[in-house]
Amino acid sequence: MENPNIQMENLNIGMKNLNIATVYTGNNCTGEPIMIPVMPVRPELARAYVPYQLYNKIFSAQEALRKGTVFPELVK
Amino acid sequence: MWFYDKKTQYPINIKKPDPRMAIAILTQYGGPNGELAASLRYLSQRFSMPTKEAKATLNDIGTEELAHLEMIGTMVHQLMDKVPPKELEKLHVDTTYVIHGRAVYPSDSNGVPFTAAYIESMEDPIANLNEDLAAEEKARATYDYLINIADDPDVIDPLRFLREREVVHYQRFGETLRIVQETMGKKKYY
Amino acid sequence: MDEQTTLLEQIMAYDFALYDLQLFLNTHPSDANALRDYKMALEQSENLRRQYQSKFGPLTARYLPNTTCWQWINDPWPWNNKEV
Repeated sequence: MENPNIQMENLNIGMKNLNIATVYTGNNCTGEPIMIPVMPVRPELARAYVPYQLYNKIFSAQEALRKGTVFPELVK
Repeated sequence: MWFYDKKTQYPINIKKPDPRMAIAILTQYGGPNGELAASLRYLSQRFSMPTKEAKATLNDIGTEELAHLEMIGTMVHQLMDKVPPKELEKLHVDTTYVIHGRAVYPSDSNGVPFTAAYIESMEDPIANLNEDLAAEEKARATYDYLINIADDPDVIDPLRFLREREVVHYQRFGETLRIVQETMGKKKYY
Repeated sequence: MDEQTTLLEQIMAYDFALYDLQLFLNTHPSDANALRDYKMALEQSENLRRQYQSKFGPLTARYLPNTTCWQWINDPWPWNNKEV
């Protein structure tokens, strides 16, 4: 059986090369903020992870309607 | 509750009738990967969501899917409306016509009526959200197939719009799953 | 394209931008940039809707410029083809 610590090490080495930024969710008005990294530093097994989007530039409203989103990075 | 805004989310103005395309598109009205399934799924699951971000996301994406249901219904209507019955017979869509006329009815493209068996709603938010991710991908793939067989730009444009919305919804459900997983920690669900 | 259609499509564009930003804000409720852009799009949408409704009638049932006439039922309804 593989050593699970080695698995996690390999994941962390991979993650170091990613530009990890944190995103604060939670709402200053009504709740405590929580930190969500773009990708988790220690992902769990048997769990799915979608990268958390960061805000950049958005399309004009007219272009957004044509494209189907205001976010250029989500046009696929 | 819901209010109604008297416009479609995206402009729809189909000038050329096409009954066969109408029947094909009907799958996104009452079929397994369609907008009715999506809206009922999300609007039912929202009651069990644990965090406020998750409640808002399920609520608001479920609401947007109702607007998409309206778009699909509009497209089917415009593609079928006023086509003479003899034309429908020539194009082999008369089997739908004899039951519904040229009306819009929630079924798939084979006439199979809509069923809640297409959706799941469980108390476990992680199970729900994984289903939602799958649903968005299946809807996106279905729009790929529809775009492949469409010719008319008046039809392709709204289909492309709807396809892109599925991509965006996938991202939002993915983020919601991240929040639920990371704030619920290692809590077990019974 | 006539003026009614042009104006309505501009409203569709801003209302759509608002909805896409709303979904983003639901998972990023502290994002100041998104909030700023939402506010700008909201102002545009409200302005255009005011113009549209005064010329062409209600977009919602909550528009009642006078009490002699219930315009809400009037055409066009969204699923009608433009060439009627």
